[in-house]
Amino acid sequence: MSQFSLSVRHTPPTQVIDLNGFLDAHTAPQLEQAFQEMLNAQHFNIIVNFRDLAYISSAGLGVFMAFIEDVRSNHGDIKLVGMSPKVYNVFDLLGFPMLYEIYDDEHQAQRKFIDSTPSIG
Amino acid sequence: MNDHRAHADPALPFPSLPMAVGAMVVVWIVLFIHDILTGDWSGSPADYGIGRLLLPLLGFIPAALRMLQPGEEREQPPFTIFKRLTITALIMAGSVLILGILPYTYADTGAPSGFWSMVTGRFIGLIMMLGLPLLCEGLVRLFHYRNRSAATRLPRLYTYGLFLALVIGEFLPVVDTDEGAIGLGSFCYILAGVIGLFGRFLSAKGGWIVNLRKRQKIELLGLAFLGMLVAGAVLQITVDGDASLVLLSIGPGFGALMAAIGVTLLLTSMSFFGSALFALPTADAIDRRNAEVSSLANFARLLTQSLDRNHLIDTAITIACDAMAGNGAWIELKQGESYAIHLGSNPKVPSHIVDTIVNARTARNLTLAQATRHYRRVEVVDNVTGATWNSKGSVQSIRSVAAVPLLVGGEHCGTLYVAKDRADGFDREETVVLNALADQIAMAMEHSSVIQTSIERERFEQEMLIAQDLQRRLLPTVMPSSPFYELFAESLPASLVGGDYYDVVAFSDQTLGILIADVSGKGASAALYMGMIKGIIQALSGRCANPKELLAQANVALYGSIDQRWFATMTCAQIIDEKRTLRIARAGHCPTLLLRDGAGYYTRPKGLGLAIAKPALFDNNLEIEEISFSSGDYVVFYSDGLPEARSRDGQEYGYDRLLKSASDAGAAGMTAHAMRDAIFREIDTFSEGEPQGDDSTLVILRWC
Repeated sequence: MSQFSLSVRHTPPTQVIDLNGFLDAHTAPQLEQAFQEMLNAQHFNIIVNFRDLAYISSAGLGVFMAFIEDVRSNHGDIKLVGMSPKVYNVFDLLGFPMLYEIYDDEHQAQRKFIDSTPSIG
Repeated sequence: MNDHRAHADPALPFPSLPMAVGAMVVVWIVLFIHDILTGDWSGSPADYGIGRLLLPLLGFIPAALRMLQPGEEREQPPFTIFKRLTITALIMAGSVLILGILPYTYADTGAPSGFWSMVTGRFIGLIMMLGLPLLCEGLVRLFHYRNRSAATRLPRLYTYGLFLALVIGEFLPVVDTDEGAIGLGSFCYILAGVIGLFGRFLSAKGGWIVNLRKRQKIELLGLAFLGMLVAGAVLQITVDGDASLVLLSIGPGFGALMAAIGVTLLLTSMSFFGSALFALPTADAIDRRNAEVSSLANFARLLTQSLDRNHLIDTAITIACDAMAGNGAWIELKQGESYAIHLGSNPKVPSHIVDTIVNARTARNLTLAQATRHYRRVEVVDNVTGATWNSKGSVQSIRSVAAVPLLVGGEHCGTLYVAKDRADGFDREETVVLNALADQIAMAMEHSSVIQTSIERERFEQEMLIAQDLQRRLLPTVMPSSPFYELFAESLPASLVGGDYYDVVAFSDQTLGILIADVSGKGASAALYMGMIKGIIQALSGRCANPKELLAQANVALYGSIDQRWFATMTCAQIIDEKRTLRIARAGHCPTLLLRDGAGYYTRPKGLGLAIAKPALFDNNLEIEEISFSSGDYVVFYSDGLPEARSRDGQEYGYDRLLKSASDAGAAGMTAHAMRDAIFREIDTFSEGEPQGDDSTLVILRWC
């Protein structure tokens, strides 16, 4: 029943992960692997686009918690964009807006990354 | 004749062997007494009256009937039957020697010349009387062996022929005494010849000889030779002057019949002798083939009995080695992505030699192992070199190896190797057997793993049931109540165990605390964390003054201590009875549903989930809310399994429907328990029995 897919885009200076479908305990390892590959490749400016994500469970939320510290200690960030109100509600209930930057659209997040990387410019 | 009816009715009780023998002995005694009393013994047998001639017939009828017995009940190995035939004939022929030892004279009439001659003759006669039907029966059995199909009428006809001969052989001279017994005797000889030839024709069906073991073939060769000699001796009796007169005393046709049987036995023995002789050169090959077949059969039985994998591999190696008469065998099995070699408990070939052989190059530059995986059929390497080692002072070597793939459902799961110390050790026949053996092994491995899995699953389910019981006991069984409120709580895990948790605790000032929590993840892992949270809450609650403090302390205990991915949500409420007041703090949990003065709404004080944020951030974002209630108000705590319940078409139940359902129940003034029923009933109706993926917990507080 739980259909899930993700794809990765490179939009310098960020990597964008597009999520699609249901992110739950069964599908969370896929996202985990995508994050791991990014960290291995030294990509720490990560945007996760939720536009096509229908549902997220607690196990799905856990994936973000697993990597955020690593990413931030490497002067990067995971920014979340394009959440539907329902998905946002799940993040909001848990207080994730206190911990993650959540934007309506990808460009805002992109700009934020560009502004905050003076060392590149 | 009644023989036909006897055949048609298998329920007819056929005489047993002792009964037939007994009947003949009785008849013989009657004959003996009759001849003495009447003095017939001193007269010519040609002058016997009809009663005297019919008496032996009575003796033969039970024995003749035994021949007509349906074949299924008397199936015996032809080798055994032939052995008995030969022994019987040997006794018959041997008994004639008595005539030479004891005084035996006869008159011109053919009658014994003295009383003692008569006694001797009659004693020989008894042996012949007993022997002949046994020979007949044996021959009938022999020709019926594996020849019972309706299509083959010949053995049946032979049976009838013998049956008639046994009867008519006695009767004919009586019917036609005017013509003289000699003419009829000739007729009986002709009949005997026909029956004998008939028997010879049937006895050519000696196909069973091919399948005898070599030792048995040699035995049969000797037996058939003996059979030829004794059959000749039996024939000799029928024409020998002295001895043939003895036969006359039984009946005029008896000698002729015995000649017919003697001819048949002679021809049968000759035929068996020839067959055994010609089968000898191939005896070794056939023995080996039979050994292979029986080892396959044994193997199938052994393998299905063995569930232990290592034992199974051991057995397979031993049997494959024995069946192929190999000098060593081993099995290479897939383990994950690689292959591991199993040498068995008693390896005959050292492991470094095995490695050399497995890596032996074959055509197309594949190793033997790769070739087997690639081609999926038997690979034979006939010229193995360098596989030599020393064992107990002698040099051992492997010269040829056969490798056969083990396939389960078309998937390659390993390879069976058999090695021999001579080059070209495997012929085409052996590779065929090896293939069959490999199929058996693969099937047994599959069988054992399926059973193993199901045993493990059953054990796991048992353990989960125990875990479920334990987890249930972590939840309070009786909820407290007071004049001011009524409490009801229930948790329904989606699988056997779950990650939802509710509890009642006492704060430091002895006020009552209500907790509901949801641990991230599902199933067994969530259940373990749930147990841990219970412990932490129980340890901390007595030291905390209010929900905010308890949650903050719980976060300190949980943050950073376990897997980063893990977190929990919790709502904690403190009841202050007299004031009908509740203090609520929320750590990321679902909003609490309130029904106050007929109005329903959710309250959602600020708060992060447990173990998500560092204590400072967590504490700074944690609010505590104080709400006063009046009699008839409700507070509904729940886990996300309720609003996230799904219908068959994937629709979520949602917060609005939950609020409406609770409000309706509240408006009806239901008890907490009745409200629980109403809410779950509504959700069940919505989800149409669709199994839910998440645990559902409901804690309802009703102010009295």
